[in-house]
Amino acid sequence: MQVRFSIIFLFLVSNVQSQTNLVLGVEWGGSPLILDKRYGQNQLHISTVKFYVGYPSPTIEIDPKPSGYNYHLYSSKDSSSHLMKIQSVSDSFSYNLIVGVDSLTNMTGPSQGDLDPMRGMYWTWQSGYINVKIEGGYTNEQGQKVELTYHLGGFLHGHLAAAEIGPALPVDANRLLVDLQQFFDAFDYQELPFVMSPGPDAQKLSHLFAQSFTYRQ
Amino acid sequence: MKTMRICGLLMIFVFLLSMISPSKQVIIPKHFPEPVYDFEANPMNDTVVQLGRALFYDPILSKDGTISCASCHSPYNGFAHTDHRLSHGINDKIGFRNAPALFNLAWQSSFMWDGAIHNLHAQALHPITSANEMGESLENVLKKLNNSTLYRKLFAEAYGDPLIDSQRLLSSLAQFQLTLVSSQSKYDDVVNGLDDFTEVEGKGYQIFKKKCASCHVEPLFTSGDFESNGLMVDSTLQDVGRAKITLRASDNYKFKVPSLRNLSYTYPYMHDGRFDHIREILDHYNGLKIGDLEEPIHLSADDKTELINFLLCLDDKRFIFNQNNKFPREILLPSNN
Repeated sequence: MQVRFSIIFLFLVSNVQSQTNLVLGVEWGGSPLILDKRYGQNQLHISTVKFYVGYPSPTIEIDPKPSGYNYHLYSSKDSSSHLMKIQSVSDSFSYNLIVGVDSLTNMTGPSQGDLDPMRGMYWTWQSGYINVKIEGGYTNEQGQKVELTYHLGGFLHGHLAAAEIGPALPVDANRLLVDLQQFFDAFDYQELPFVMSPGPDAQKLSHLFAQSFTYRQ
Repeated sequence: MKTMRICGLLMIFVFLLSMISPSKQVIIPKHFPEPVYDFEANPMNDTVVQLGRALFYDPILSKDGTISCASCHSPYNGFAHTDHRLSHGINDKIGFRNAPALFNLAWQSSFMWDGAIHNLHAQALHPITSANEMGESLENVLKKLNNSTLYRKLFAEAYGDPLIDSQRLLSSLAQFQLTLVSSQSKYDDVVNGLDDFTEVEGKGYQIFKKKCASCHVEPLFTSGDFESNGLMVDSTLQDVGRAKITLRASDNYKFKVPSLRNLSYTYPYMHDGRFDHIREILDHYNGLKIGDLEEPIHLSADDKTELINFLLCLDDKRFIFNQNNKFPREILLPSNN
């Protein structure tokens, strides 16, 4: 009887997959970001925003820690990437999305689809995915133009840059937005105008970036 | 009854054969450890190997069509780069390190002198896109391949459809490189009971086991780990080695322990090619306390001679002169056959 119940339960779980559609977007101070528009006193502007969002692979396991992830690449310049379709287990199981690519996927090497190195998010000089790419610039007090380049990645021990987006994905969420004003307010970008390799800075900024996300209906 | 017995024996034979080698293209020597590479997840395919071989020797991968993988990884030199301390690429741009020899890659969990690459399928991305090597972009390489009648045909034959993408390109190159197995030196014959060391070689082997084997672990003759071997840092290159990847000060000046196989063919030696002769290496080590050794290495003149004699037993001529690894004339220059 117990075995029969388990089999039925597993069958139901394995077949009750749901799809969630999330519109991804980038904001500045609560309004949609306009690329290359000058913001604030320092005329800060953003020309590129790309990032990976990971969601648990469909699985029948009920362990809250996902055993694998699927990835979606958002690119500010590619409107077709602004809708993310999540095929996941039944709504009964809550989970967090992550920004960035997990260590196991990194170790597996370059892959296809959104993880194809052709998408410009894979380091060739040192294996691994770039989780977040933000490029732009600002004008300093001397009137000089300064470039901002953040290629945030890393998965080796102590430098894991992939970060959870909290809270768990709400059942009624339709949009997932990241506020870059919140991100840039969280650190001194004039002291740190570029980060292009794994390390403590990449890890710190990756987590600040993940903390800048909110869900909306 | 007799037929059933024969069938049963054949089945057992086929089963045993499959256990020896996951693919007919990669030899897993029985005295080697289990490979690190996941052949089950990435099964070998003969046609893919030949495609990878063509790509390896084809300068189409470089921006100006002059540099192939074989330009720095010469098949006549154990797939290492000789005559140059540091490897060079298009427009004679000089790199930062000496290209390491390529063999026994299925037993390696990281690649490059600093272990920057941890998956063989990812390795080729570095030289293809490095400004000092091939100076190309992945996008352009795929464009060129898709525009090539030859490669459209080769990819279709290898993969069953004409799609040419990054994964297939990298997988093909990886599969060819996996076939580069060096395991038939005199040392291997001795281990397998097919030959004996001479008295001098035998003495050299004993010295090796006492003073070198902690880092150059048999039978691969490398531990695969990163060690500092007392080299003074080159004041121009300022190469910190593994620390560049891990960002740990304790990894400063550590480099991947290279295999000692095929030394006759893979000079110059060390990550920056500073030594041209084996004797120079031994002179460097003489007096140094390295790795897990409890005492400094002391080598007399006789010790060095005996050790060199043993090290020459690690040359694998059957690998070096294997025509299956060489330039695929029949694929790349069919009209010249």
